[in-house]
Amino acid sequence: MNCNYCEWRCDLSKGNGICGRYIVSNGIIAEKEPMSWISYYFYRIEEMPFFHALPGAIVMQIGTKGCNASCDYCVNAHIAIKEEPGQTLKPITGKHLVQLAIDGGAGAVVFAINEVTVFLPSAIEAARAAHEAGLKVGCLTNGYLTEESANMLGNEMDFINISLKSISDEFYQKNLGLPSVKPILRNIKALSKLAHIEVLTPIVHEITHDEVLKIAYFIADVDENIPWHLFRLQPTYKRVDENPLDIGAMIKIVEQAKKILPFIYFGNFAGSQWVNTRCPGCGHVLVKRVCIGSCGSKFGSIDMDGNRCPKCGKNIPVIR
Amino acid sequence: MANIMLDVNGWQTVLNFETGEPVEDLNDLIMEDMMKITPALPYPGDTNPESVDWTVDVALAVSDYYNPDFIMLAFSTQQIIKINEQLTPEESVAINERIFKQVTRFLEKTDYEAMVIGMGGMQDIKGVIDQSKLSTGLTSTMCAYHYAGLFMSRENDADVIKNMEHIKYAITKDDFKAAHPEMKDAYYGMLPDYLLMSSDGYVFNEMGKRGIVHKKTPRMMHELPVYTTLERPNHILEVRGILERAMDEGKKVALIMLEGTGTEDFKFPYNMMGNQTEWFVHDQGLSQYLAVATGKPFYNYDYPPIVNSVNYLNTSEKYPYSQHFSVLPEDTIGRRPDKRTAAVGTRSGFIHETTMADICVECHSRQLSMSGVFVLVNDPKDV
Repeated sequence: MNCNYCEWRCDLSKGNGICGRYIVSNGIIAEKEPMSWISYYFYRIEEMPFFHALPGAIVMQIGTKGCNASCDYCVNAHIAIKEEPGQTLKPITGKHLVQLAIDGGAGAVVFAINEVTVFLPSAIEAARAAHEAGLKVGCLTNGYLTEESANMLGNEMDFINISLKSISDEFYQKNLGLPSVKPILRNIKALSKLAHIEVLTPIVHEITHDEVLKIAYFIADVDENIPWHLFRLQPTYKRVDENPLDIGAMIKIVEQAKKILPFIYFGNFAGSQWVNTRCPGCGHVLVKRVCIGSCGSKFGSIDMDGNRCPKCGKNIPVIR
Repeated sequence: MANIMLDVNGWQTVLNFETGEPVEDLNDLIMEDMMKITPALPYPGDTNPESVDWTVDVALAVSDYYNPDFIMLAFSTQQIIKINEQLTPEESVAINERIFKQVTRFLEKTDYEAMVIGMGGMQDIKGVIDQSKLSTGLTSTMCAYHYAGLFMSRENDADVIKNMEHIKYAITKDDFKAAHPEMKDAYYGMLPDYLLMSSDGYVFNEMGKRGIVHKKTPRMMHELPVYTTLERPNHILEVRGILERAMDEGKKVALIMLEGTGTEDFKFPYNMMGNQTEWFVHDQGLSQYLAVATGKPFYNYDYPPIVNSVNYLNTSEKYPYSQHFSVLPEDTIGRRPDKRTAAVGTRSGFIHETTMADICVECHSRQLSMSGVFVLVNDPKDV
C-alpha cells in the first residue's frame, strides 16, 4: 500500500517509509502519532521567515519530528533526521492548541520546525480549528510533496514558505537525498495559485552566480511578486567543518538578482541590510526589519497605506 | 554615541547601538581598532570547547589595547555543552580543567586582582513539572531555569498551583508587589499572574525547546564558591561594592564568572557566599550577572525573572541587537565614569546587557546557531 503524501510514494506494506511517520492502519494510511507535537513556541512571523504575510504578527510555531529529505546541512537534524533518546511528542487537540495560541497573543499558527508533509492530516485538523477561531495559518515545506498533497496544503493554508534549495537535480541528489527538484518546481507553480507563497533558498555552500539568476528567473516566471529569501546558514550537521559563506561575495550576486525580482531578501546573518521591504516603484522603505542573526529577523515598523506605497501609490502584495 | 559592530566570519558592519541603523561616517577610533582585532579571533561556537580559550584570547587582546581597570570574563561553554551534549566523565572533567587552565593563563599574563565565581554546578534532570491541569501554558525561558510564569490565568489555576508537585515557591503578582512596593511600574506590569519556582533539578516547559532534549540542568545554589585576592564577599550582592572599593584603591580587578561550575568542580581555594535574596534564589545566568554588575536585589532590575513572550517580542524598538532587553541598566559597574571597563565572554547578549562596560566583546549566537562576534563600544568616558 503506497503512501501518497509525498513524492517518494513509499510502499508502507513493506515497513516504515522514508519519513517513518505513517503506517497502514485498518487498511488506510494513517499517522503514527496523530495530533502529537514536539514543540510549540511564540515568535514574530519574520523569524519563520514570512515577510509579506501579517508583518509584525506574533505566531505560534509548532511541529512534530521526522522529514522526507535528509539534508546534510539540516539545522534541525536533531528532530528531522536523527532520533534522540527521550524525544517524545505530546498529544494536544486542535481546540487546545488554538487556546494556547490565543493566550500567547498569536494571530496565526505556523507549522514549522520539521516538514509539514510528514504530519499533513494533523496539520489540516489543527489548521481548521485555528481558522474556526479566526486565526491565520501558514507552514514551511520543502515542496517534495505529491500533487494531491500540494492541493490539500494550498487549500488549507493562508501562506506557505517553500524551500527551493537549488535548481539542479544533482544538488538535490547529492545534498538532500531527493531524486529530483522537478516536483518542487511543479508545486511552487501549483501552490502560487492557491495561497500566498514565499520561496526560501538556504545557502550554506558557495552558490554560483548562474544558479542564483536561474532561480530568480524561475520565480519571476511563476510570479514576479513572490518574495524570495536567500537564507545564509552557518555550516552545520554533516557540514559543520566547512568554511562559512562569503557574505561579501554573495551581496554582489544579490544585487544582480534584484534586477529580476523586486522582492529579494538576503538574511539570517546579524546586521544584514537586505531584509527591508522597499517599494519597487520608488524605493521607499515600506517594512523595516532588523536582522538579528540566526533564525531570521525582527519586525521594526511598517509604513504602508493599506496595500499601497504611501509615496508613489504602487500596489504592494502583502497580506495585512 | 555608542556603536556596535557585528563581525560575521569577517564581514563587518557598524550600527548605532540604540537604533540599529547603519553608521555611515564612523568617527570612533576605538571601534576602528576593534574592527582590526576581531577578524583574528573568530568565535569557535557555543558547543566547541575552544570557545573557552577564545574568551581568554579576546580578554588579553582587549586588556592589551584598552588597559581597563575592570574587566569581566564570562565562561558559559561548560554549561552549554553539558546541557546539550552527553559527555563522558573524562570529557566532563576535561572541559572544567580547560576553564581553570585558561583562567590561570589570563591571571598570569595580566596584573589583575581576581574575583572568580562558580555560578553553580550541573546535575541530571530530576523530572519535568506536570502542568497539564493548568488552564493554559506556563512561560519559561533559558534565562531562568527554575522559574516559570503563568499569564492569562483563570479562576481555578490557584487551586491547581497549590497542588502541583515539585513547586518550591509560588507567588502572585499582587503578593510580589506588596512584598516589594519599590519595584518599577514597568516591572510590575510585566510580572506574570503567578511566578513559580521549581524544586532543585525539576524543569518546566519541555514544549518550548524545539525538540532539543537537555542532558543536564543547572543546580539551584543557595551559596556559591568564590575565590578572590580581594576582600571576601559574603553575598553575591556585595561583589560590586568590593570591586569598586578595590578600584578606588587603584587596583585593577577582573571578575571571572564560571557558568556550570559548582563546588565539586572549583579548582581554586574558595569560600562560600550567599546566592539568595529573601525567597529568590539567583538562577545560574542572567540574574547572577545582574546581581554582580548592579549590586541590586532582583526586584530592582528592569525585568522580572520571567516575562511574557508577547511583551518581550513587542519590545524591539530600542537596542534591537541586544537579544533580550530594550531597557538596559544604567547604574552598573561598567558605567562607572572614572574607570575604564570591559567585558568579554561566551554568553551572548548578557555580557553587555548586564555590565554595560565601555568595551564589550561577546559571541553573537541564537539557539546555539553562531552568528559571529558582537562588539559594543559604549558612550565614551574621559578617562
